[in-house]
Amino acid sequence: MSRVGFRRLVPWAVACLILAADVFISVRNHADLDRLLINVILALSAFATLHARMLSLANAGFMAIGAYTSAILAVKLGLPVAISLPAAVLLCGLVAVVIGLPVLRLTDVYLAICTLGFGEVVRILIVLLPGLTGGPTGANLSTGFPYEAMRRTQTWMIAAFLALLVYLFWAMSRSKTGRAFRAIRDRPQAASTMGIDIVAYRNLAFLMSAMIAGAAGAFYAHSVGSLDNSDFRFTRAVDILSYAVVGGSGQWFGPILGAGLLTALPILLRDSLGASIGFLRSFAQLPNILTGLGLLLVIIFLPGGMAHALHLQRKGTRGRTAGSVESGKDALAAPGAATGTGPQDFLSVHELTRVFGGVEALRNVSLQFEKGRIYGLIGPNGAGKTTFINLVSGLVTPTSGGIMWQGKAIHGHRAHQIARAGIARTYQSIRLFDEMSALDNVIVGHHAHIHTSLLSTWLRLPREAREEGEARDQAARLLERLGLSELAGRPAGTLSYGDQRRVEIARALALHPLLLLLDEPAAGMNEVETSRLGRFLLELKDHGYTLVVVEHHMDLIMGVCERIAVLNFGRVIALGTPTEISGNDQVLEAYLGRD
Amino acid sequence: MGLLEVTDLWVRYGSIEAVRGLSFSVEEGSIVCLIGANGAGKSSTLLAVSGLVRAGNGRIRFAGKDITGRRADLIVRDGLVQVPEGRAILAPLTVEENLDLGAWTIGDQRQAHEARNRVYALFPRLAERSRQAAGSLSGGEQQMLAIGRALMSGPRMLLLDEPSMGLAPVVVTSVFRVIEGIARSGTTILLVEQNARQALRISQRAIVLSHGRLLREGESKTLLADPVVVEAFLGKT
Amino acid sequence: MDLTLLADPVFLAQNVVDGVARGALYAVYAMGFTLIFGVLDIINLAHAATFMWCAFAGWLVMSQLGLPLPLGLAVSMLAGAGIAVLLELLAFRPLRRAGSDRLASMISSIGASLIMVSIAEAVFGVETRRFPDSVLDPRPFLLGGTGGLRVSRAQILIVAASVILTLALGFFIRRTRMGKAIRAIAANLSASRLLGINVNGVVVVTFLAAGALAGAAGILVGLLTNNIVPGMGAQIELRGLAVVILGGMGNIEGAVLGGLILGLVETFAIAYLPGGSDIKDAIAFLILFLILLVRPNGILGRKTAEGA
Repeated sequence: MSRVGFRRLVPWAVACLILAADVFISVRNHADLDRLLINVILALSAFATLHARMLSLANAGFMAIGAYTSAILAVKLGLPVAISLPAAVLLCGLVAVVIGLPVLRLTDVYLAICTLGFGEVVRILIVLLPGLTGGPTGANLSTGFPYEAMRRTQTWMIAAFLALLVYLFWAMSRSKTGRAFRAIRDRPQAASTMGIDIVAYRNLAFLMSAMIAGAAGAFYAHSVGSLDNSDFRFTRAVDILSYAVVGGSGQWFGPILGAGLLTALPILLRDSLGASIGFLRSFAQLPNILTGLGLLLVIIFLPGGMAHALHLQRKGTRGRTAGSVESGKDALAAPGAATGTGPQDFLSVHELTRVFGGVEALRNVSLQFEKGRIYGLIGPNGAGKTTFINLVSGLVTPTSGGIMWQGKAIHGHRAHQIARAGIARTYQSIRLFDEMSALDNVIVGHHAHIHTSLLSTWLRLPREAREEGEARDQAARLLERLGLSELAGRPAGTLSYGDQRRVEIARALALHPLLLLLDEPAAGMNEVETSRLGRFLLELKDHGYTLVVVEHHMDLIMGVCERIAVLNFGRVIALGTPTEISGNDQVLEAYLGRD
Repeated sequence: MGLLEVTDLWVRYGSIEAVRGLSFSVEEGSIVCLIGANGAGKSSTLLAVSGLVRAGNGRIRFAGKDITGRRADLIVRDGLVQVPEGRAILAPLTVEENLDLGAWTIGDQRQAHEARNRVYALFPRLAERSRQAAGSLSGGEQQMLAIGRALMSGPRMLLLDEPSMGLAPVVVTSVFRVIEGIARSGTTILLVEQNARQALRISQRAIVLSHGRLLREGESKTLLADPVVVEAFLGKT
Repeated sequence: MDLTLLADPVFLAQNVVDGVARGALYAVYAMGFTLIFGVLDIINLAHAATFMWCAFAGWLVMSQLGLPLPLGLAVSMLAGAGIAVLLELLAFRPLRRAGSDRLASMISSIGASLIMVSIAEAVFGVETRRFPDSVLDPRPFLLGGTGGLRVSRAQILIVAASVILTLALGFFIRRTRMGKAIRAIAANLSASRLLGINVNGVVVVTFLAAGALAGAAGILVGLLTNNIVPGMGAQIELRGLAVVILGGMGNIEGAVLGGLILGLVETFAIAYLPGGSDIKDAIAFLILFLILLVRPNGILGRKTAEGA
């Protein structure tokens, strides 16, 4: 067997082993099966946030809320599980929304710490309300229900719920929402300039995570029969995290694998070794040691987790394989006419200034852009060109001054709003979503034009399939226009530099923008590629697009732009046609230096 | 053989080839400038020589010793010191502390003390501000600090990465005058610059990079008048 | 609330004393934690496990070998330094080499912490240990007769130790050559390399210092609470987080200030609020939340906490 083949086989063999182990322990012991299923559900709750690039350690807390709520409703109010469980889940959702508003503003580690604190606060509340929760020694559900009868019916309910969850995650991963999450996970800024509302998605992820964890908690309560607040300590949050990290948080089945492994392994080891050796005390710690070891080893040696090792080629957006592209509608047809009264209403900036910590990146820049032209923005390193693009596209807010787009002020608007208003951009250092295919990257650009929601994805409504299909077709046609059809299915990160640049342009075009801001689109290209790009830019102008091109490749700028603005030290030092600019002494001096 | 010899240098960042088979040498006691348009590969060359970035292919020799792949802090001890792009001064530390750290590789405190006095003599403004936080200095003063700091260890050769960046023209002139003075006192200089004219004026030889490759090499005086330089920056008119 | 308590000056003074001592403990713990973050941008959640193992190390030499307190403290700090360096080599350096982000090193520290705590539970079990009485005279000083102020030797030692350690750390960071190098890599890692600083070596020294501080905290906490268990890290870890966020992540003076504030607030809450001792655990988290939501950079901090 070849070495490459062997390496690919090992992860699959491991996965099968895990599956076998899980089946084994489930068949042997009912309680273990329940525990396994609940852990898998918890793992999916962790996945919900991790795949939106959030490290939330709040799931133990939500699990506790779900568990105690359902238990209390069942015991104190005598409600059947069919009511108490959904009520518990809804309560978790409510808490998630309330907590999420202030908390989700925080970044990575601060979010993690804050959610960690949340989990502990929940535990303290449980202890503080003994009347309600049975205090530190816990609530006992067996007084309210015939324990035996309830437990047997529970397992199929847990399994059914899990199956539903798997369907929901599977369907989501192949839909617009799944793409959006992957985009956010990979490059949040680029995602926002493609029209994706990061804040809204983060809230959605947090909500989903909380409700799933709450459901798991409720199932846990009814399965085990009694609750103790120590069931939801920080170690629980760590366990949940480890399922997702070890299994791999890139795809939905990763955490499932992780939960399968980390649930089965300690049980098997304990049962096979613990009986024969007298160190029973040590083996009580085995699950934790394994979890800790798993976390450590995976994060250092295999950061993508087991799912990543399985090398499963992401099927990506469903539909026919790229290649059978319909002709007819031209991929480059620019969207409708600009609103507003005159050419002045297209894009204009007034006294635009941006200061970064004492340095004036842009100072009192005033420019007006007419529809349908190609503009060049040049200047030496550090002149403020990228800052200008960042300001217009909304990644950065001006210190002072204004930006008017189609007669309306857009300064201070968020990037995704500006993208949806018709301004698309590319990046100086390429910001494609590396793990996604080229085709999927371009479809992300189309995000704002797909109107169907997650719900219609889950309900398999025909409209959703139609819109997805249209998006996919559009993207395929765009790629074809740029000569990239053969590469459509390949992960964007594996493409050559020049091809990546073109995919980024295709992605920006998928937005159906009125205005395209291109930040050094020819960087790294050779002469042939540059002139091909130049011809393409002229084609875009013919189709009605307006372009602002930041570049250092003077051949491209001089050959393609109708009007050029020259920046130096954050100010506009010259404005004119290519001929005027190349003969301008001040410009020469800015670039080559004074004598 | 030159003090610095670079042979067939390749620098790659993933699939991007920033430097493609570059070869050049710098004679001891001279000022050589490395010029070219943005993205031509100038900074990547310096990063590779200083050991901050690994060379994909090629050999780098300094004072006869092969330093390819050598750890960055050891290269400093060999006598090859870089003044990085954007100055990279340590903002929360004082001017004096920044300078003292430049003498990190010198064990002898008295030597370090003398070096500091020399730097203060060269840059009296730094002496005035010695107890101020380095982050509060103006751009030009920070550049002086960065150069002064590099001089503290008495290097044989200085690599200067775009010293004129972000500085007003008047300040740039004084910075270049300082560089000339340092060269006169015996330190070899490799100067990477976007401001080609000033760089060509003070250097003896020049290397023009384009797309990571050597476009032209020769005496700076001749290149000043050579249209290829204008072309490299502004394209064919 | 018993209003007479408010009028009692001795009770007030007692709580100040208790609060300062408690706060000093938190400060020593938090200093080591915030040092690592300030220099390396790493949230080391294994700091608590280090602290716990040091307490046990101290217990081992003092109660099993009968060594006196100063030696116990020394052993504990050495153990802390050693453990911290091990963590750096095994859990953090590989990630730094691979260019991983902050979250990865945090997760790595969680894994390491879990392993360390589990091994401690396996080895030591769940019974609490305490330092022998011979180590420190448990009789408190009484000021103003039997109805007056009670100050235990442990409290005096804790405050004295924390003052010394704070001054020593400050001196080390600001006045020594190595301290300058540490500040250099905190300011700009790659520029420091260009100055000829062996960054990995300086990182090791940073961990040595942080670990030693964890060790000191371990002994001091053991002296005050007389409750050494493998789970003792959990409580102080979350308080430590609250303290560093309160004082500003990466800010050593902030850690001291934050520690004192938390110590005093906790003590006063227990004393004056009904049911105070139940919610004392929640106080730290409440402070954590409030600060993160209102002023994420902390009282004295400078790194940014809010993002996209």
